[in-house]
Amino acid sequence: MGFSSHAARRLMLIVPTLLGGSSLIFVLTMLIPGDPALMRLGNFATAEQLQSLRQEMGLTKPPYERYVIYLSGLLRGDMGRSWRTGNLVLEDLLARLPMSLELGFCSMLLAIAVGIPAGVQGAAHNDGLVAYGGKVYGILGVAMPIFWGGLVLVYVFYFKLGIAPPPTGRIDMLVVPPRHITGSYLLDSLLTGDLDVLVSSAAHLVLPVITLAFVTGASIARMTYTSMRKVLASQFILVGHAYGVSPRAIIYKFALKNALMPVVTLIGLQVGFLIGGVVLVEMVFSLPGIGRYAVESLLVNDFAPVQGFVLLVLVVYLLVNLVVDLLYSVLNPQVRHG
Amino acid sequence: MATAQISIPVLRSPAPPTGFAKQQATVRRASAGQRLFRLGVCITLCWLGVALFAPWIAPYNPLQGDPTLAKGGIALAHLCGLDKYGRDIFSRVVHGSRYDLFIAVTVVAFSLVVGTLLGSISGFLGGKMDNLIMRVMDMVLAFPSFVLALVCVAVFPPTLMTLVIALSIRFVPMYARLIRGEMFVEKVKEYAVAARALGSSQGRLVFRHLLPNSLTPLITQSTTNISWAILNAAGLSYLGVGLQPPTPEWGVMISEGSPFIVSGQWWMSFFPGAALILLTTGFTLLGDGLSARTER
Repeated sequence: MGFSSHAARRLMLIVPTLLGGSSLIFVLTMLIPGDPALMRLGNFATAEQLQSLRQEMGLTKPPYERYVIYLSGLLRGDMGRSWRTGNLVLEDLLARLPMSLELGFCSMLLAIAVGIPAGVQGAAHNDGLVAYGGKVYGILGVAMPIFWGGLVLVYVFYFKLGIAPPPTGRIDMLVVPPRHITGSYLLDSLLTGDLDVLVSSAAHLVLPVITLAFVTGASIARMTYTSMRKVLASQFILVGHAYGVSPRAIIYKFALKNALMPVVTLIGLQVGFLIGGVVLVEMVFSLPGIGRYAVESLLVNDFAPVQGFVLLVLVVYLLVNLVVDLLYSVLNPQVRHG
Repeated sequence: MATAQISIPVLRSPAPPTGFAKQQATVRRASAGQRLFRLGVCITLCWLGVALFAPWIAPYNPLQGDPTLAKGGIALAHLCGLDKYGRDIFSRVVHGSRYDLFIAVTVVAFSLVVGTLLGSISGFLGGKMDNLIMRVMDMVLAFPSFVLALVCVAVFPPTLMTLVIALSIRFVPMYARLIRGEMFVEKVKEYAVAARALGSSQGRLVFRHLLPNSLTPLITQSTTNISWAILNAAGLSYLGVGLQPPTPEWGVMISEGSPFIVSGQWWMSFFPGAALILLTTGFTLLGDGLSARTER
């Protein structure tokens, strides 16, 4: 099987998963106890008001009909309306997505940049300070609650040292946000050449990114360590040593290439973890991303945004894992025939 | 982590170690792994003791404080300071261990039971039933785990039970898959065929013979999962959708203390978080040690 047909088949698999996922979300919202119309209008609504709102929301129709309406709405990109913000859910989500992507992407880059070297060093040197540090990081990093880590960083770098901006959003109050191009302040300010915005938004991103990357990087370090240990114990490494290849070349040229394959897959799965982390970090630092939007809606029983959020997250997660799978099949052609 | 794995210590050139030195190095590393495992056992047991004897260890009532002392810092009478209602943080952290340990254990037990049941049915029967169960499991696995838990707590009222179920759902497919794989291997082994030939019923065959022989990988997996359950229970409570104040749960406490971080009253959030790290570290070390043992 060639690469393109493998890719096509893999892409086709997303469709049933998305259908199943959206059905699961639909079933869950059907299970919500209480009357959505009553929740929206409050306890002082009259019976007629309730009845007309129920009709408007389509609650009087049988479940299967509502399911069809829900699905056909999704196909048109209609995720309903949030009564908290009064906007269409899709608009709200798309306005907040760049912030979350910015945060997630930067954190993942930093996590990989820290995690893989830490794992490699831990595995390559059996003892010594570096290896020991890598190991302790691997244990403590996965044991730390993300939101707590964020709070500690805020205390140290904002309150004690005064070098970080306060945890109140993505930009300083007095700085005018850049013209909307991509929605990411970092990119937009670069494109418009606005240095003030670039510095301000970057400064607001530093602590959230470190918080998220610390925890994610620890998992990556653990995976790399385990995978690297396995490869270093295999025969071809021994042969390499026997032929007098330098230890450095063995680690970086022979072992790392082979050890990274399972790590690539696991990094894809790690994105799921990262999404949960994004939600928590956005709450800690009051960043206006999709995670905070979902939680704030959830706290006032506004479910359309939560549904939309889950669906959007599902799409992002599936796409990321698709890319990872394809990347993996490029690195390791054997899987295409699997 | 496979700390006990044998690797080849040829990296230390110029003189490669002889057979004896190599052995010695392996023994030393194995015992380092052992030490970490023992440390994990100790931490876990300590927390278990704290949770059991919480009312005797905690010097103050965790729910009632002295408002005149509100936000008081660390003092000899209050080792970890006081929160915004003047409640003793140390006492609250001690009592909080009960909630977090309870959640951890019930989440794993619940998902273990449901997952094992589904996995055994799937693996033993095979065919259509297997296909159906596994496709549903795939669907659940397609969701990022924290988001899945978030949706579940959103749907049902915020009680301890909801929290436990919401956190369990994520593990059910994991256990179901593990057990299904084990079942496929075990059901064709000779002892299973013999039991069937002796006329034991399907239920008896699965629960008396096959299951006990398939449980080892699950136990290892469980210790690792416990840490995740604790961290995410705290995460949900921090967001305000898990346990509710004034419950002395650690996530709730961190959340209650978080507004005061920017004004420098760090102790309200710091100590519950530190307790959380200590407990999850215990379980992580335990899990690492167990998986290193079974890998051998």
